Amino acid sequence: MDDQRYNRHVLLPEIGLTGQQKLLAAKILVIGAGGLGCPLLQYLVAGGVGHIGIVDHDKVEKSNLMRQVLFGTTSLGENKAKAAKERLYDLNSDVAIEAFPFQLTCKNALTLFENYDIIVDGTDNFNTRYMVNDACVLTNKPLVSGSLYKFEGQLSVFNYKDGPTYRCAYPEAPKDHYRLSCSELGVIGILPGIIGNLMANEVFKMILGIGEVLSGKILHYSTLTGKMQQIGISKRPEEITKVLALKDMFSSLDYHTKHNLDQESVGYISLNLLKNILEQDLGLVIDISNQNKAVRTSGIANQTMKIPFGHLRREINRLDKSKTIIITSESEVKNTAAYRTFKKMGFNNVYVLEDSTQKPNDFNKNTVT
Amino acid sequence: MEVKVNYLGMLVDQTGKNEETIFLIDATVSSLNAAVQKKYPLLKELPYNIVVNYEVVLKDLELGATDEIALLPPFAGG
Repeated sequence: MDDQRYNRHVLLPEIGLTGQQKLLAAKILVIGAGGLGCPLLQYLVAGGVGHIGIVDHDKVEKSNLMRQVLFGTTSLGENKAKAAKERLYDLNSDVAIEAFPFQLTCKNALTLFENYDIIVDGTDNFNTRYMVNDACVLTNKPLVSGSLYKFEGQLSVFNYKDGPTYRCAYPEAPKDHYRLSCSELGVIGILPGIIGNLMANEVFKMILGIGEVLSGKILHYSTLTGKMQQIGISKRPEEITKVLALKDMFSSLDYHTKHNLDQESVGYISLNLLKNILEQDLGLVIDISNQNKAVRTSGIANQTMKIPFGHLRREINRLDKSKTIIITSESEVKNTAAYRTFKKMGFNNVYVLEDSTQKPNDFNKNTVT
Repeated sequence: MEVKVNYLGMLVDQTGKNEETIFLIDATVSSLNAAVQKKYPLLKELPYNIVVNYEVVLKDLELGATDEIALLPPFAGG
């Protein structure tokens, strides 16, 4: 063991040489090398957590750099798991790091999880969060789970020593149109740094067997108020039984489609028909993009109202319900969310402008031309 | 009775508020839930936990004026 490197750990009687050896022997799988993954990986590796797996299929984008602190401009376009591994190797080459540059799926999750002691979830969507939870329940691995919403974060350790699981805390996922992530809603850059480090802290405590592990509790933190609160949660045995029953079929499940069944499909409208509607003064185009991104409002700019997505709920009651509402933005997720919001608020004629996100591969679309 | 409710995560966006005082004739968790859902119908569609004095409540219970109440939804971001 490198005595100098781990000296400050070894000095602590609660850790000592034995504790540091435990850290070096531990095997941790981190899902997602994004906002949460970057800071927590940094401290796990620096502190000598000996075996780390990183799963991420995404590439580093410029908009990541304000919070995903393992990456610099030279990593742009690279796979996140590989780019993280490269930076972390420089930080501490004692640590055996394996990069898995592919998407976690029901087909590979169980096999992957089997090889690690603790699973850490820093992903950015509910589908993966439920899949990770279920795979942890099926492989009986503790799960350190952190998540973010704009200025707030929460974390907990699930499935630890027979404690509550993610589904015990949240049996039901939000419907699709409420499943926006940081890429659509924004997030304050420091927040994943705080929550990611709190997650790493839980990993250290679990490996070392010191302190109290955040099991049966959710820690909630708000950057705006500085308030940190712990909220007690209970086990819901029926939620765990439900997952255990999936054991034999888990690898054939698809968490990315199973919640979609009850959703009414979105209606699309072509630019030509839209122009007709506007000529007769029957419609109102709502551009919900946050910045001046490339949305197709050329030629209709005068009849387009800009309401950034985040302000939509506030502004929606001012709009004329007798008009046909046409939504446009750079994001399909936002368009769908806005579509459903208008429908819920009693607007009968609502459409999304076709190809407003300029994605060519949309099938099953109900387009009015 | 009046109770103070804190909204967390996406509920801040749904309600446009971080916290507010709600008047309840029948001061129970279920009537509080009905009151917020009546005021903000979109909340009916969202999963959230009702937290009373830092514990997620799974059964209906009576509320006191000094109880600390929060509505906690799951977050997706990472």
